[in-house]
Amino acid sequence: MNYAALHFRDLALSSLLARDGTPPDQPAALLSSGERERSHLIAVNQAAHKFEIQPGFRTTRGLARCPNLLLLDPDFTAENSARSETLAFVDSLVPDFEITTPETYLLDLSTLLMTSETDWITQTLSASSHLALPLQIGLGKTPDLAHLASLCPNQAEPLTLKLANLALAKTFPLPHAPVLQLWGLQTLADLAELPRQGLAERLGKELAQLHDIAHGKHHRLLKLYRAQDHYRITHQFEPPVANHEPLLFMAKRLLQTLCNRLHHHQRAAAEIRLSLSFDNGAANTRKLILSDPTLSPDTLLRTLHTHLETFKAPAPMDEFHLELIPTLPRHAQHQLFSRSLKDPNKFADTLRRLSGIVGPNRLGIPHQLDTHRSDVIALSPVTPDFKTPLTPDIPPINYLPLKRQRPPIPINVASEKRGRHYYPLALLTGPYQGQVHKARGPFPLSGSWWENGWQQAQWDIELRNSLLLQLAFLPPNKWHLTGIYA
Amino acid sequence: MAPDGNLRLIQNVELLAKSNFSFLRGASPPEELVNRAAKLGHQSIALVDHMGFYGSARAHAEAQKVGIKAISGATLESVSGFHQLTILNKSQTGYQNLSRLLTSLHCQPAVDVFKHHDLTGTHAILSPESLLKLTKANLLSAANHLLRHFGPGNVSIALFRHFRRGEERINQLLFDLGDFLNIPVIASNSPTYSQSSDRLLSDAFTCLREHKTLDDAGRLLEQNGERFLKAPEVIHNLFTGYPRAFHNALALSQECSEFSLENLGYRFPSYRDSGTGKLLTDREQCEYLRKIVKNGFKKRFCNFSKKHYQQIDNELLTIEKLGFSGYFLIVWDLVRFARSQGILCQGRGSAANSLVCYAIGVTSVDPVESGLLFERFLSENRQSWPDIDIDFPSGERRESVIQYVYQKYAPRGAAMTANVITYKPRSAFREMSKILGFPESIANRFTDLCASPKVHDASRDPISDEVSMDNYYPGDKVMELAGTIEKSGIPSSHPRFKPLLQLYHAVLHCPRHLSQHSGGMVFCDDGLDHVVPLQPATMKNRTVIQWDKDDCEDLGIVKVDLLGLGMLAAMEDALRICERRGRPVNLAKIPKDDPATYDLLCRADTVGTFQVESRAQMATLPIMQPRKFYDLAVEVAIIRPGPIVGDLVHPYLNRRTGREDIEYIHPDFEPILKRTLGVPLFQEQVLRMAMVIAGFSGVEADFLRKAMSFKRSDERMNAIVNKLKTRMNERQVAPEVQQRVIESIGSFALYGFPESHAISFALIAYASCWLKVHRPAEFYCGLINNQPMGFYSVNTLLQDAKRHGIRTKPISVKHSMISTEVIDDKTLRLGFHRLKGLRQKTIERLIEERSFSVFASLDDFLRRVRPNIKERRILAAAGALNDLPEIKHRRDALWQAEQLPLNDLFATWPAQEQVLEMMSATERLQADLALVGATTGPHPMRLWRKQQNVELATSASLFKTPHGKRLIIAGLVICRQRPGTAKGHCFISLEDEFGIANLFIPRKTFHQFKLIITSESFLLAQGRLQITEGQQPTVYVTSLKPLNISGEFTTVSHDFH
Repeated sequence: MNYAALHFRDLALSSLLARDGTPPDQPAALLSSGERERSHLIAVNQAAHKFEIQPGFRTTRGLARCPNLLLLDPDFTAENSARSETLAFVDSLVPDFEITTPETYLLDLSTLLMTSETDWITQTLSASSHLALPLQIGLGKTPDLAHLASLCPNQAEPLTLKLANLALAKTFPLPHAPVLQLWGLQTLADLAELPRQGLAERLGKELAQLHDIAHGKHHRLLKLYRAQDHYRITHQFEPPVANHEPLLFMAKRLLQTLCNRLHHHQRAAAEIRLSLSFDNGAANTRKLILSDPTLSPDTLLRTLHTHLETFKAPAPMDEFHLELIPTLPRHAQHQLFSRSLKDPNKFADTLRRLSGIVGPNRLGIPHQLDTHRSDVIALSPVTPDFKTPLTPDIPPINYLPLKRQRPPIPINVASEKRGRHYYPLALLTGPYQGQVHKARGPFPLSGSWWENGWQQAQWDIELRNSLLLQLAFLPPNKWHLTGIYA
Repeated sequence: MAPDGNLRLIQNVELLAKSNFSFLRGASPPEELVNRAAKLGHQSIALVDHMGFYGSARAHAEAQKVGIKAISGATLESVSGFHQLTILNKSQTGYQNLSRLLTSLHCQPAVDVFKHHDLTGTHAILSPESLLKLTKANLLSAANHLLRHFGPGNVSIALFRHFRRGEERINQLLFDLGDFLNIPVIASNSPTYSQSSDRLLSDAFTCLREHKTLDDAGRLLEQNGERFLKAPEVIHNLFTGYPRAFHNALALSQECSEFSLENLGYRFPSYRDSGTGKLLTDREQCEYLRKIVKNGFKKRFCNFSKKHYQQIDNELLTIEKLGFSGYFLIVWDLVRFARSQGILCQGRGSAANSLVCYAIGVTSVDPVESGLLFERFLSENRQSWPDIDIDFPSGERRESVIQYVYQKYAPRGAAMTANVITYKPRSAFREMSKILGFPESIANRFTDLCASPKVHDASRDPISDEVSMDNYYPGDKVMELAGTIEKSGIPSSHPRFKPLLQLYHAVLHCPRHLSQHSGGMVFCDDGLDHVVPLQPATMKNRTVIQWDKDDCEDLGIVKVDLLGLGMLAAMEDALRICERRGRPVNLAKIPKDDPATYDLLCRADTVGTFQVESRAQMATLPIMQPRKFYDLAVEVAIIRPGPIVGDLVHPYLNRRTGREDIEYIHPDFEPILKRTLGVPLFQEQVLRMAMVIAGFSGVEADFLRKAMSFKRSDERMNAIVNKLKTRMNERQVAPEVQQRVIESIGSFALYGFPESHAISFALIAYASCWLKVHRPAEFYCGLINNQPMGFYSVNTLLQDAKRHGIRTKPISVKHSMISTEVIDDKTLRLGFHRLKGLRQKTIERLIEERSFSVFASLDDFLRRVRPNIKERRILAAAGALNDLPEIKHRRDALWQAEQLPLNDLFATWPAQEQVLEMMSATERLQADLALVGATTGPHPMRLWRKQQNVELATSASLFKTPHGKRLIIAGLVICRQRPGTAKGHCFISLEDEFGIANLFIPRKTFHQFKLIITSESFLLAQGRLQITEGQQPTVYVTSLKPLNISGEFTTVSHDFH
């Protein structure tokens, strides 16, 4: 057999059970995400199968059959971690393999020297024991036959695979599963026995292809996997360095290597991940997103340089990791009428420098929020296309220009309570003081009562010297000068 | 207070209030607004709900109570260029004109409605919300437009002070406009809620209306909470700069106060002579009624007694005195129309107390023979209209009668009464959690946690994980609700937990939308649209009024209930088949003392019959042993929440079986309670008891009846019970007798049957039993053709039919018709209507093509009928193609039908080889249940039993098993029940191939196996047999587990209704 398939059954569930060290005799099931009570079971372990619990059951029905049933919510972190482990395991077995599904790997065995297939399977199963994940191995003369064989428990023949299980696995197109069920077909062998032409005429070419696969008449090439570690390099300094010059010097050389690798795989860098370790045990990691995917070591180095210029190291640096996150390169031509930048990365670099000067989260395009609260704005990030954020159409509430105080100035005001409201009489402290000559208001505003509610009463006042001010009364007893009318 | 200290100068009216009947635009009920207005010192309040008079009837009733004036009006939206325009009614004419205008806006929106409607008597108010852009030019043009249509003196301008920036400028603009055009300005706060705290709900409604969450709503929400109903002095302080605004508002309110909803101008229609088309006068109507009563009397009776003669004379005199002759004639006309169309119908309710109704054919019970009390129906002391409810076969037949009424009073002379759908716990939680941004899954969990089974008997053993949603009162169970919300996934520490609780309680019971009443119709000679606005219902060709049945009753609008009864439709179908088969049955003439029918009742063989088919009824029948018609009426009335809660069932049965002595609470009650062995079972008995023991007059007794049946509040009930107590104390009635009388009334307040109603229902129940005994094939056929109805699924009905020797043939493209047919006395043929997924068009084409020539082959069938691929599969899988030549079995049909016939003239259909194997019995059963909902083959339990070696009890063997024996029984669950009256215990009906076994699951066992009971279709129950009274076997269950039956079956059960 030329191909093997490793199928980690119900990885989402078994990764959780492995993480928690759940004993194998504990019935357990994975819930559909979000809704515990109305949810259904997406996967059940072997122990749960003994209670006649099937995937697709409503949770309540599962609990009715086994009150002891362990219900687990999907945990993508655990699943990803298990997936990384399985990937590392498969990578240790053969040089060429394909990640067919998150749970299944197809291995090319042609380059492998083995005494017998049975021994290889035994050794592989034994080697996988550290994963504590249920593993099914299938062998086949074609990749798809191996894959089908891996879906059968106990290394059974691929044709014994139940069509219902094949439909659940969703790895092969099975568009007419309900019809096949009506026809009484239970296994792949039942399907293989049907006349190919009759099947194709009735249910289409996809089932005819499955028919071919079952008969070993269909062959395909593997989509070989290449690890992402390929684009990551670590360098240690001996002795630790106290400034960033040596780092940049090393980075220049390493970036050239990484860019060559990317180029070799027709990829470009979308992001730089730089992790620094210091000799006092501290560490720092930074993601530098590139505005435009690039393969230019100079651009990447400039980005790193800008970042390091604004970075203050807590201690001498003893190690750094440099990683480029690959993506497909962008192929775009500059248009006559488009306003895109020629070098978005240069622009991003400029923004990064600005941000280093004004401080984090203080650079962006300001826009008003859709709220009655008048003193709040938000900053949206500046993008290379200078796209302004969608802002609500807020009509001016005053026809006089207002110079807003940011932040508002707390002041003391002599006031008098009339009805439910406090009326300002005189400004006692703050930049503008004096008796209130005229006042218009109050204009009570309130909102967000469902979470962190706010309220204030605004006043427009005129002082004796004809100065027009905007005040805000914040219950129970605070006054703010919020603006000056020009 | 006014500056000069004169209280009279202070405006004390509010002319632009909106209630929560403005649907998502107002947050307080009309009653609350009126109440609050009265408390604050307003003299009057105008309710101007959005596009209708929805809340005005309730506001009017409340205003009468608290002694202020409720002015009616409405706010129009997007009409004639106005964003919002408020219109008040100044007179009856104005009310009628606005009502017509609103009807037109709902039914036939036109561009400029003002042009086409008379606006006399109405008054328009231009407000800051009238226009989207408040510019000088726009306002001037709008004001001139209003002056042109409404006329000078009928337009005002409203000023608002909601403390918004720029408001002052708008007010000045409006004030100047008023000055310029000589239009009075009025001051208003235009409240949309009664108290400032209601702003939260108002914001929530805004979000619902705009389909946003609170976080996304932004400036759509209010900028402050100032739109509440403010006290007159507060309003005065706000508008000190516009003193004229108070005087004008007061003057306008006085003008509008001259009209109130008491003077609606409604008049019940007079009878129109069918020959001349002329409306009859009162005198002519009396004479005509006498004439038809006389004719009917002759038809009904060969010999009638003197008592009959006296009764009819007395009734006719009362009817004439009260002026109700026209009403009886109109009801008679409806019944006459239905009969002329061959539609079965029968009056129910208190109408059965009237001999006139019996004589004119509205009811089928002779009240004299049955000893029924006419005063319960109608008396000179009664102020209200008589209540006649008529049952029709549900579905198209009833619709044809409803359409007859629409046509007769067209245009716009008839409509259905509305049914106000309110926020119930689940919908309240769902909507409020949604606007607070919680995911839908939280609401789903809450719904599931509060789902059936719902019983919560807190007094005995509180079960913390359940909330009874039907009996949920927020005040008492807030903590319980908080627990449920926490279990749904929102911890109490969540910052939005409290807002959610608050909004939930605020929105609970608020009106959500209007739907139509199940059968209540109101009609009017000269257009109903001048009485109340009409709007189109969701159903085609139907309109609905903006008030519910209680509002109509409060305002004296007469409603006639045209109700749909599934059993009448089934019986009508059965009778038609009987006639077609040459064995006609006249239900009016079937013997009322048929021993075979009573035998069926005594052995509780009543699956499929009317009213006596429930498990509780079937358990009581063998004890009751009904042998005469009145026994059946008692049987119908006794298994009701009223008598059950009142512990009246056991005393009656004990007395009937002689285990308990008969006693009458008080010796004076003997004549009243003699027929029911001293136990008050009927509403009439309770009323007469009140008259005898407390000296209640006819009017007081009628008030008691209304209080017992009025669902909206307990106030009426408390008032009348207090009066009863006082009267009994005055008459020195013994305290224990008083207690028992009050308990009897309390039970009926829950749900009591009038005797006449029980007798009417018993008539149908008896007829259905008679048909089951004497025309079983037609009876089952009628039932199957009129599903869904009753307690049992079609599969259970077919199993029951099989046990009665009726076999059912499967659906066949060669033989089946659209509906199920009777082939002979012992055989039925299922119709295509049972096949799920078959289009009506395809069925009709199939029948039509088959009428030309039989289908020669599958190819021929596919070419001529042209079913789509889905239909081909359905027909093949259900075995409907099996009768065609060349088709060996269902799978063969599936294989062959999957491919379309070749359209090549010279092509020959290839010889088919057997590619697929035949379906097994289990597979056929699965396909039948999934596609037809029933099987004509073996019961699933028979197949299961074949594969097992264990010996289990069966529903049949239970009858031969001794009391107390431990046993195991298995079967298909066809019914799960846990009624509120059962103290938490559960009842399950388990069907097997021999019949139905009854399981009793005690409360503790239910909680232990709750999930198994609610989620499994097939059960294996262990317990001991109890032979209950009437020799009925019941399994007292101690343990349960799911039955491992091969294959998944699509089964239907009647659960927790």
